[in-house]
Amino acid sequence: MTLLKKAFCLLMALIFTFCIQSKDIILEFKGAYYLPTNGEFKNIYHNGSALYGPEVTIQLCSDRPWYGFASVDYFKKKGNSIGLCSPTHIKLIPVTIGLKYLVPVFRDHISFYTGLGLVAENARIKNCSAFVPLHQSQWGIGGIAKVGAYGYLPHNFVIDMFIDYNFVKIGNSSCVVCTQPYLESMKANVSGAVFGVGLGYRF
Amino acid sequence: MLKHDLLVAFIFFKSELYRVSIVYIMIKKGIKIMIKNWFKIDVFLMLLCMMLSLPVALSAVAPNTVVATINVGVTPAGIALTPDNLFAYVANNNNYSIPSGDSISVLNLVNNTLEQTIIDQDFNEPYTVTINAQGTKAYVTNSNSTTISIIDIATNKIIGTINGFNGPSGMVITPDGRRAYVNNYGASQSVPSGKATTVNVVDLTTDKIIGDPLEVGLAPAALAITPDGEFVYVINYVDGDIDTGTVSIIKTSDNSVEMNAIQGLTGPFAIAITPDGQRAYVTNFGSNNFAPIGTTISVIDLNSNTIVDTINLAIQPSGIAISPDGLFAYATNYNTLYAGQNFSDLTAGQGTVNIIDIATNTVLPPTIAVGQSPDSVAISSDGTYAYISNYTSNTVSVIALQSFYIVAQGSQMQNVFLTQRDIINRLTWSVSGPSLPISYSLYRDAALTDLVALIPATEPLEFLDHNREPNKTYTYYLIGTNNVGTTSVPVVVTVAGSF
Repeated sequence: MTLLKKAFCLLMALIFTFCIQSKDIILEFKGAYYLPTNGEFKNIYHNGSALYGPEVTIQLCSDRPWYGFASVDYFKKKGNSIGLCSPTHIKLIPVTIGLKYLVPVFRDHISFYTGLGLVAENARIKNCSAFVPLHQSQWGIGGIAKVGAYGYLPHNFVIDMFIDYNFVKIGNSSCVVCTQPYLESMKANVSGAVFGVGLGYRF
Repeated sequence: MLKHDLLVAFIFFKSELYRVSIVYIMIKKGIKIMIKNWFKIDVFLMLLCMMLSLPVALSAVAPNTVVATINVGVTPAGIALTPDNLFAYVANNNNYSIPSGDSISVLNLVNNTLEQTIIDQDFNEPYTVTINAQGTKAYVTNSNSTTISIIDIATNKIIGTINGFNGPSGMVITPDGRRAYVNNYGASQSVPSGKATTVNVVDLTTDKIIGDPLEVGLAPAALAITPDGEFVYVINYVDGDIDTGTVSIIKTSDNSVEMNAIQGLTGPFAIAITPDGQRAYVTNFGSNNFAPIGTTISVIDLNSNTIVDTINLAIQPSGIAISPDGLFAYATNYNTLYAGQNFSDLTAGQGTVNIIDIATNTVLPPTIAVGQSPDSVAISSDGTYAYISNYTSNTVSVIALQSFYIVAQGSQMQNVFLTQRDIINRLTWSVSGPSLPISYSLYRDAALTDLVALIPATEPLEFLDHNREPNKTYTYYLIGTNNVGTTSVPVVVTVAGSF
């Protein structure tokens, strides 16, 4: 079992444990725009693109504003190398876990929140050049900061508007094929801001 | 013939093994009746044809080296090439008066072989050959008589004679092809050799001399016409002593002559004008008695008609020709001296050819060894070969020239992916010259053993050497090969590590 699968199973177990005890659970599906802040990333992959994935938010203790959240997102983009413009593709899968602090306003119709968390991010890169490895899979660990607001709709539906910021670096590991004699590997900064909206259901 | 046969022949044809494709088809047609197993015979025939093709394959030839020596007649002097560069006509001067020795050798320049020897009673110590621009007629100056013989190049037969000269020893044709100028060195009893002082004008539409002879300096030895046809420069040997030689200039529009327009030459023997008409190069052969010995070439500025430079060569510079691109002059060193006392025992030493850089008027390496007493030089119009007549050896040396020049440069770049960086040495080059390469070879070592890439000339003139070490300087050696297999001197390209 890969590390990713183990982490995913552990996360699911934690979420399930909290879920069966929790009074307030929000399950949502997010769509967002991922805007990388690193210049090299932007040059290679031509700025950002869509990021999407599910997120679950669980009240940790009754009558307390602390919530735990966990999410898995997916980002995919095509680009070109700097220099010879060789085609390259990247897939980012950030797995996030953290805490949110909710502040209800307007008679509990809206809750503003802020949050912090940890991100384990997997980057899968395909470089179309005969002179670098074709496929790479690399991990990076970092943090996430969140601000946003839940709007509570009729029939327990919820709308979530949020801005996140990821701090993650990947690199220097696990080339699938490394046969080139003089090829330099580098750490890559995949940090960036996420602007998005989620639509969920409140249990 | 089956489509299959045509396909295999076509592959050979596309790979420029023309002879192979023909041989393949011929063999296949012949064996077709006997053999039924087509596939097996194809493999056999392909191998056979590849073996037969070996003589066709180009072998690399270093530039400025003698690639063939062709036996010709007795004491060959002047040499001229047909405009298509397929044949050369060599005037065999027959200095020893051997019966039937007065002749013209016709050389096949494709195979570098003697094609035919033209012998005619009209010939009398033939000295130079001049071919018209159409390549239809060759004019032979008979230096021991008063005539020029006209050869029909299609049939190699004498089709006419022009009379009225006096030891004709050179001829130039105007660019419009209507007139020729012939220098008379002197040969009759009334005007012995080396005592004449005239140039005749010939109407080539009628092959008759027109007008009176033009008076020039003493013993006009050779002449050259400017590319625009406006002036004819006649070098006057005089007595061959130091600084006694002169140049007379004929203005072709009215045939007026400036008698001693330029002075200070030493036994001038041959003259060549650059394609841009800016300069003339004159070989100073020296005395007819081979003492004093000339050893220089005078460079004349044709705007001011003054000698602007003197280039030191070897013993007795004789013939000279300039490459079609105007970059280089090729001059022969006759090197034939008296070994005994009182001008006795004339002995020919090693004849050589020097290369002169026109831009700097300096002699470039290598000095090319040819036959004995090299006399005249002719260069093919595509600049790929020079032909040298060796007066004492009775041969013509064929020199493969560097017909192209490569200018190369290198830089380092990087191809940056998100987590990988490929450092690349980028080499680019340009090429110029009358006969460009068909391929380029790039090596990592000066011994040219570690081949990096073989690049056809049809592809961009660029090579990317990937996965280089950072902060390391690399050296490459680039050579080109033209369609006759002549390679260039390796161009060294150094790429310093930038990352």
